[in-house]
Order: sequence, then C-alpha cells, then structure tokens
Amino acid sequence: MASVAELKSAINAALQQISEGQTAVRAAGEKLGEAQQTLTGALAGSGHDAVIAAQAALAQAAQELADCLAATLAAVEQAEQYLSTL
Amino acid sequence: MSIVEELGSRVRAAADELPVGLVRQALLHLSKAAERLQWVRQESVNPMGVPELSGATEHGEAAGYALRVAQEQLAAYLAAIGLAGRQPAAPSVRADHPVEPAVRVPPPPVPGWWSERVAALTGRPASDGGPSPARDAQELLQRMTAHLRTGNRTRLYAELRAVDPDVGLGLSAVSTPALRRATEQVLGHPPRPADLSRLRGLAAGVRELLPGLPADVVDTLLSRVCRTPPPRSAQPPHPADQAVAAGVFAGLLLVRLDQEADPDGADA
Repeated sequence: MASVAELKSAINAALQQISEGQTAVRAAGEKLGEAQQTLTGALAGSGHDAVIAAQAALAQAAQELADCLAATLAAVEQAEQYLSTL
Repeated sequence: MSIVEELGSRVRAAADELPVGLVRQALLHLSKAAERLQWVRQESVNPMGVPELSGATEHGEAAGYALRVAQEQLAAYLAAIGLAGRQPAAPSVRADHPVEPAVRVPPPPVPGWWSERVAALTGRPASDGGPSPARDAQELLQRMTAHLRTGNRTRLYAELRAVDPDVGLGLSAVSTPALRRATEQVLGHPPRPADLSRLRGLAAGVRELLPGLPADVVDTLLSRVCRTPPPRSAQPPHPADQAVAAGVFAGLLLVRLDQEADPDGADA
C-alpha cells in the first residue's frame, strides 16, 4: 500500500502535468484565434463549400479547446480538494 | 505573384500554422496526468478529478480532429481555385495512438447550410423578408433574448436563420460564459455534476423551442455547464446544433433572471 507521501507526490506530479497541458491548450486557443482572423480576412465573402466547412470546423475546434480547458480546471479543483484531505 | 496566388499563400500559411502540435502536446501532458491520478485512485474511492480529466482529453482529441478537418477543407479549397500543391501536414493528435482515426466532425455540405439547419431545428421553413442580420454573435444573443422575453418565436427563428454561419457559430463562444453565470445565479452556487437533473428541467424550454434538436445535444450542453464528461454520441454533432441550443438556453435563463445579454460582450 502506498504511503501518504507517495500519494501526495503523485497528485502533485499530476497537477504539474495538467498545468503544462493547460498552458498548451491556451496557446493553441490563441493560435487558433489568429488563424481564424487571418482566414476570415482572406476569405471574406467566399461562399465556397470548403471554406464554410473549414470555418465551421475551426469554430468547433475553438469550442472544444474551451471545454477542454474548463474540464482541466474542474479536475484540478477535485484533485486539490482530495490532496487537502490527505 | 497574382492576387489568387497571394490569397492561396495566406490560406496555406494559416492552415499550416493551425495548432495541431500544441493540441498534441496538451494531450500528452493530460495523458501523463491521468496515469498518475489513476495510480492514486487505486488507493482511494475518491474520483479526484479523473472523470473530469477524461472529459478534458475527449475535448482535446475532438479539437484535434476538427483542426484536421479544417486543414483538409482548406486544401480542398486551394485545389478548387487551381492552387493544389503540397497538402498541409496533418499529423495525428492523439497522445496514445499514432494512427489517425476517422474524422468525427462532418463538414456542412452546401452553401445556405446554416439557415437550412436552423429551419430543421426549429421546424419552421425559411421565408422571405427576414430581419437585417445581427453583425456578431453578441448582438444575435441580445436579439434572441429580447424575442424570448416577448415570446415571439417567429422573430426568434428569423433572427437565427438570417445570420451568416460564422456569426451563428459564434453563439457557442458568447453563450457559454453567460450560461455559467446565469446557472450559478439560478442555483445559488457554481453548477456541479449533482445539478444536472435540475438543469435538465430548466432546459426543457430549449427542446420545446427547438423540436428538431437531437436529444443528446442538450445533455452535452449541460455537461459542459456542469463540467462533467459529455455523453457519448452515436453520431457526430452538427456544428450548428450546439451553438443554437446554447444561445436559446442562455436567452431563456437571462429572461428568467430578468437580465439582458451583456451588450459589451463581457459575458464572453
């Protein structure tokens, strides 16, 4: 059976990984926003099927990234709560 | 360089710079975190964030698939305007599976797809003489809330049908923070998994207003609000569904709270 110190260490390591994941997700969201702006400017007025589909997919990606980040925040909250009880 | 070539160059650069690598990097970190938490969980019945982390991974993977779809569509567009060249790199984004799985986000098929989808969701066919379209998603949410307040379904549906797809899809982004804030006010605390049942009751009006909405869309929306893993769907969601459902639910809650959608976009 693992000791309390080992459990705490593992949770802290997990929290560190989540934090680095959050940094990457935020950076991805920023880059995605820049790409959306560039494409909106370049392709304004285009009614081409592929352009509409690409823009829809990018909007979907942005939403998924926002949801991903929100879920990591909830995971951190839960993990920290458990950590405080050890 | 011709104007078309310059346009192609900008589109290709934007496609190549989509953050596929960053998403893959994020998934690797989340995968390592999940491994560690799973190990700890063997020692405790406390879920300690494992379900939420699983949900985060699913969203991250879905984001990666959507980016891949966008890259493919942009490559198709370049080919259509005679600029087919190298395909943008589209490596796998899953942390644990190097082979790209099937694409999950379906591209909308035809121009006019947004208004057609809204007509399918609302059960009201498109008609002539609609309002001047809202310029952005925040304005659209404001107009929707106003029509929900007066109970004018016809104008609510017309506002939704009238906008460009990018404005309509933006409803997701502006509605999510408004939803979290409004549900917190209604519940008296930040929404949590235990509130799902009560929120389903509050969302009954969404199904009534959008009779064509697939059943699992509201559950997915509520899981986002409560930050729980979304239900698994047999079919990939249509991109318009979540946006429209989120906007209608946010509007209904704002009406219930006798509030307006923030005109300055502070909700977003």
